[in-house]
Amino acid sequence: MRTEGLNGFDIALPAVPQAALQGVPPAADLPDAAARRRYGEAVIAALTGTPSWQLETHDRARCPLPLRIQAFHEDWPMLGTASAVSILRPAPADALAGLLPQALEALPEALRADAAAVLSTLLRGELPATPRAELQTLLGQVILRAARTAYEAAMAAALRRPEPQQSAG
Amino acid sequence: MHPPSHARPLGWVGGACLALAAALLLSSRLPRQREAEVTLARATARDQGLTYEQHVLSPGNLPAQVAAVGGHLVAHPRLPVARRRVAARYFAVPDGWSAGATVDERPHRHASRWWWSVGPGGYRVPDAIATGTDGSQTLFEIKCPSPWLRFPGGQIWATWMQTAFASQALAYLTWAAEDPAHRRVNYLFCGLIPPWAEALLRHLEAEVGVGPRVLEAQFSAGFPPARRFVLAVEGDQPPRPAVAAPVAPVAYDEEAD
Repeated sequence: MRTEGLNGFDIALPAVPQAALQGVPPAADLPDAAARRRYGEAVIAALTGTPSWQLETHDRARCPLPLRIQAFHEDWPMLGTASAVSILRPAPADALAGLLPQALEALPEALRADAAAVLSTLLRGELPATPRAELQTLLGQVILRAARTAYEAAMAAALRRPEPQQSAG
Repeated sequence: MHPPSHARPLGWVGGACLALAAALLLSSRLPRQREAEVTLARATARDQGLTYEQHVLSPGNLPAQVAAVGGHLVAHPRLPVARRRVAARYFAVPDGWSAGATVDERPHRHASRWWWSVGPGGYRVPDAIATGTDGSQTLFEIKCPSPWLRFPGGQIWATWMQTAFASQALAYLTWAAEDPAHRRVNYLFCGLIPPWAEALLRHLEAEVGVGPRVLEAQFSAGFPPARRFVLAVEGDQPPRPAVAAPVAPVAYDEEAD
């Protein structure tokens, strides 16, 4: 079952559940291996300051319908203006591979062992045990920061598109 | 054997009376039946719009996201708006979503020539306004129309629908234009934005100088009608029933909104 995505008020990450704002989401929000890996990759990328998303911006009139419908189903944020739409899709997994050690370095030392266990489990497509509160909070904050960055990039790209003309229609 | 000659005029008169009675019966029944169908469909459209609004404004959705970024959300605030008008421009979507909206050049004798942001002394009630930690404000208008609606030019119901939508949008953009550095307008759609709404917002942006932000598929996973709309891919839509036509304006009824 599709869960509610992280796509809304000044925050947007493709294929990451909204519950990630509170840390590792519950099992219902990570229903399969792909969703768990995707969430783990998003956390690792966020910790290293690497975008876990790819951005594409289209004039609305030229944005193909199949892409829009795919974005709807895959939970890729679609946001922009009345003239342009930005779509955020997940960055390819291989572009994010090998970032785990760097991500752990970005964490306080006291949390690294637990974080390594959680993230490794997610990358295997499995469900980790719920981390302790301190790590949960930190993971939520990390995702929030990344989601705000992604939103701002997507909206800025849409706003850069040409102004509508008086004769538009 | 032929019937008696005097029976012929009586048969003709009787037949005519019977036809007239049938026509009268039919003409009185059809409007009632149509009215009942329209009432039902109208209630459904209104309920769906309100349900989507309730879904988005439920504590775990938009309010939670606003809180996550340090903002504060107020639902249904009373919003004073400067009174202004723009010349109405109506659109048609004769060929579906992919073909987009075209300006409806037909005369609209029964439609407004002007769209007003607000009536004299009036105000607007948007779905919600979020105030950020820096004092900036984001107005939310929450919509759930079918993206696949097709209609040719000259439809009275389509002009009503567009007048309601555009007048409301004009009000919100006028509000944002008063302080564009600190105010913005977000339109949230449950599925994809319909072409006519997109065209209207572009037209108003050109008139007012400030445009809305458009966010699609908002909180759609927990709202089945959004999924039904998008699963019913353009072209797979069944023919739109005639009774559904008058329903469309109700989706943008200001009371409901």
